[in-house]
Parts: sequence; structure tokens; C-alpha cells
Amino acid sequence: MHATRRHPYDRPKEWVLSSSSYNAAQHYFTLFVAIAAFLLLIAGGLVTSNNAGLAVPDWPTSFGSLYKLPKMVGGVKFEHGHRVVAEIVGLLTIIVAVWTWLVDKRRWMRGLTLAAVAGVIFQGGLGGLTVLKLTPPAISTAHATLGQAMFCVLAAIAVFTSRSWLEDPTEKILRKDAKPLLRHSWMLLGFLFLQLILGAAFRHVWTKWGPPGSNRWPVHKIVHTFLYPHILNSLFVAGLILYLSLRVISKHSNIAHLRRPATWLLLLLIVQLLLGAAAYVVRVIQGVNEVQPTLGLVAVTVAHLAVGALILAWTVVLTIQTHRHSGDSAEVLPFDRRPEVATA
Amino acid sequence: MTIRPGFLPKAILLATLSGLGCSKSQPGPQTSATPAITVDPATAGSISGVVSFAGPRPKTIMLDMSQDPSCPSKPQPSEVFVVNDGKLANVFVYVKEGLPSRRFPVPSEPVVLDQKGCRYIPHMLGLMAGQPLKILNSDTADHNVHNMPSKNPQWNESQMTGDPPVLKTFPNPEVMIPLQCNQHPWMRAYVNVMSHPYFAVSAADGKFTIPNLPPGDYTVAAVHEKFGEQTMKLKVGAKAAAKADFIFAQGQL
Repeated sequence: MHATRRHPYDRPKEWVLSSSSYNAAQHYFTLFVAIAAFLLLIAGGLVTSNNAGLAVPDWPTSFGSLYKLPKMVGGVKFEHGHRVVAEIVGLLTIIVAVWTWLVDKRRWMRGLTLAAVAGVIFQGGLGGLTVLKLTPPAISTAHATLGQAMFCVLAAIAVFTSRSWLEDPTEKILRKDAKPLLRHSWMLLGFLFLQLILGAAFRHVWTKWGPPGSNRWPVHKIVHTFLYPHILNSLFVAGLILYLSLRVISKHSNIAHLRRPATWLLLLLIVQLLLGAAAYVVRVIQGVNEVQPTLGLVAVTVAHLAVGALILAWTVVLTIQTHRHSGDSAEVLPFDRRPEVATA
Repeated sequence: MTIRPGFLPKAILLATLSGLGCSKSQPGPQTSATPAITVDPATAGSISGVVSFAGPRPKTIMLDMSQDPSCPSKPQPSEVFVVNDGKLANVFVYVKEGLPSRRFPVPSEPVVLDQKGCRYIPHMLGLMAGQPLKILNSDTADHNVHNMPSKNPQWNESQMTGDPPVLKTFPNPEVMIPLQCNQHPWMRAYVNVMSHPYFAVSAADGKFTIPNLPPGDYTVAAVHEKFGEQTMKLKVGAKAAAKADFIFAQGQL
């Protein structure tokens, strides 16, 4: 007799959920780590906006010491502060991985936390290279981009450890309705990463080769190469956010896990467009003749970076929640249970 | 439904490989087998002039140094636009073309750059390729000195208060190399590296003199950090003092 392939919904719910159970402490800890990673992004943004990337010339030591706190004044407070927060986030990410391996039976989840640890370590190495190679824009841009990617990974881990993720979705979207949402949310992720790379490249090239740095690249060259493509790409990003948010809010507002990210994306888009315009004024129009970073420049550019990171993270959440809630009612499967279905 | 595997790693790889080149280290010291030139003092001439600023005096930019208690607590004037009675200071003037293609002797005494009051003194300086630059820290504040050249090696040195001088040389001629302290982002100086000794910096009254020049036809350039470069062709006769007055204007900004 061949074993008949049964559908998981034919099985007792307890059996299906046995692969992993909700652990409130673990979930809130992962949430805390994701928030810490967000604060780390802000700390990194403060370094670049204050042109303080080389205030501490050595790495991994700071002024020759691994543990001694230097005088936290001037650019040192931004650069060394960023290093301290980064070390804390690295440690917290390792704790997330160890905790996951202790309490979480999902293999892919264990793998994801290990990947997060590897990513955080690699990110630290990129930060060190940035200092040792005297802030080459390619490495600094990769460091900025990977930092936001790691924030998204940690935010996703927080979602995967939430109670709602471990329970069956009560509301679903028919596969044919989910398809355009999924297609466009993945497209949005692609455009957002491109936007992130262009924005980071602009910031770092401007700081290194533009007016605050060596002044070897004319302003118009930096603006034409990085900023105008960033602005052009923002139109695609804005269009996709509008499409996704309005579609979710109008057609699937009954699903809170989709409605929440969609609403946040809409609000953050408005804030981000305003911040982008303000950043253009303070960085390009006024910043050309500034002899030091102003409070306005630092506040606006760091806020633009931070809101950009939140948009990226909410898009990741929207994408994985759309996957989670898609499928005909009998087919809806969280992807962590697939192997069990295949072997049932 | 599953999340498409490999998206994030691909995105990260894309970010890492985004097409920007790292700044490359510069070639080594310039060497020349040509014999050193000697200028006959009996025929040597000079170039002198005044750098003026046309139009209303630009507003003095004030520096906020309050983020380090070891720096002056009150706003300090920046050195970017130093205009006195229509005369512009901190303009680097040098002979750009016309000199014989011979090697000029390099002075062994260093040019001194001090860090005092959380600013570089002088703000604009010139030296010859291979001539030492001696960097002092007379402040009670700690500094780092970071140069940003395109034809010379780049470096970033920490210099705590009381530390011994930092000695650096620039092997290749290059104009307007910014020097920056990343601990105090308002601190900025410009180093101009020449293959010859014919350069000067306009003083507070806009005046400059380039002495001991062999007679000939020259192109003289004047560079300001914000207004850019102007050039002028002139002839220096034997024992003659050629005049080279430059006028910068607000519209050039």
C-alpha cells in the first residue's frame, strides 16, 4: 500500500503546531534586538552625517585599547559610540541564535539565526575595513546596505517568533488575490534595496569625495550619478507602496497582519518624501557651502535614513505576512510546516 | 507558499558589489635623474601681486566648536573667506607653467602645521614634494590628522595632546590636498605640493611675492578653496619684478 499524502488540515492542530511553540520571552527578546539594531542604524547614520568615520583611526581597538573608554567628545563620541552599540547588537544577536537553538525546533529558523550571526560578524568586519581603508565609498556603502539588511533579518526573526506566526491564520487571501500582492511586494523590496544602495552611495561619495571631503568630485557629478537616480527610483518605490497599501487597505483590511504594515508604509512614505526633500535642501543646496555639519543637516539626513530603514523592514513584514496568509483556505500553510506535509 | 530562498543574500551581494571603486594607493616617490637647477641671483626676477575680492565682503562663517570642551566655547570665525579691505587672504599662488624641466633642490627643513585653538595654523600652505611636513598639536584637545589626496598616499594619524610631532612627506606634486580632523569636522587645512619652490600664499592684506625666479614666460595660477583657480600669463625679465594681481568675485562661488 502506498502511503496516501494527507493534507495537514486533516490532522489534529496540536500535532501540526508541535514543531514549535510560542515562547513569549524569546519573542520579546528578538523584538528588543531588532529595536537595538534600528538604534544601531541611527548611530551609524550619526557617524556619516557628522563626518566622524575616521575620528578613531584604529580598529578593532579604539586608540590602542579594546576596553578603555576614550574621551567621548567631538567625532569620537559618534564613532566610538557606534562601535559600542554595534558590539552590544552583535552580542544580542548571538544570544538570539543560542536561545533559538535551545527552544526552537524549526530548522530553518535555527539556520536563519545562524545566518544573522554570520551577517552581523561580516558587517562588523566591513565596518573595520571602512576605518582601515579610510572610508572608501564602495565599502562604506556595502556597510550601510548590509546594516539595513541585517535589521530586516532581525525584524523578520521577531515576526517568526510571534504568537500569531505560530498559530494558524484565521483569515486568508485566495491565491489569485495574493499573487499580485506578492509580485509587487517582492518588486518593492528590489526597488527599496536599489534605493538604499543609491542613497548610501550618495552619502558616502559626498562625504568622501564631495565638498566635506577631498572635493575631487564636482557636486553636479555626484548628484547626477547617485542622487538623481535615487530620486527617480523613489517614484517607483512610492508607486509600489501606494499600490500595495491601498490594495491591502481596500481589499484585505480584515487581516490585521497585512493592514498594519500597509498603513505604516503609507504613513512612512509621506514622512520619507518630505524628509527626502528636506535632505536635498540641507545637504545639496545649503550643504555645499557649510564648513561643518549643522544640526539641521544631521537631524534631517539621519531621520531620512531611519525612516528608510523602517520602510524596508515593514515591506519585509508585509511580504512574509502576505506569503503566510495566501492560499485557498485548505491550502494555507506556513512554510515551516512544509516538510511535515511532504512526509505525512 | 514559501519565501523565495536566496533573495536577501543576493541583495546583500549586490550591495557589496555595487560599482564603486575603492580609493587606490598612489604611486611612490617621484624621482628624477635630471640635475638640480641653480638660479643665477644676478638675473633672478620675482612675481608679486595682490589678491583682491570684488563685491561686498562675504559674510564671515562662524564655527561652532562647542562639542569639545577643550576647544574655544564661543563661535570662532572660519578661515574660508578672509577679506580685509577688499583683499583676499589664504589664496595659494604658484607658477603653473614655464619653468625649465629641471629638478629643484628640496629643502630639508620642514614646513610646520600647528593645531591650535582647534584649528590648523596656517590654513593654507605649500611645500615641495619630498619636503617634510611637521604637524604639531599645541592644543589641550586630541586630534586626528587625515589627508585626502588624489596623487599621494592617504593617511589618518591620531595626535593626542602632548604627543610628539607627526612628520609626513608628499612624494608627488598636487594642489589643494585637504587635511581634516574628523574629531572636529570644522578643522580643515590645504596642503599644496609643488615640484619647485615658486609659490606663495596671499597674506591678510592680499599680498604675495614669489622671489628668485629665472627670467622667462610663465603661467601663474591663484587658487582659492571656494572660488577655484585663476591663471595669468606673464613675462619675468632679468632682475625684474613682474606684477600679477588677481581678482576673485562672489559670483564665482
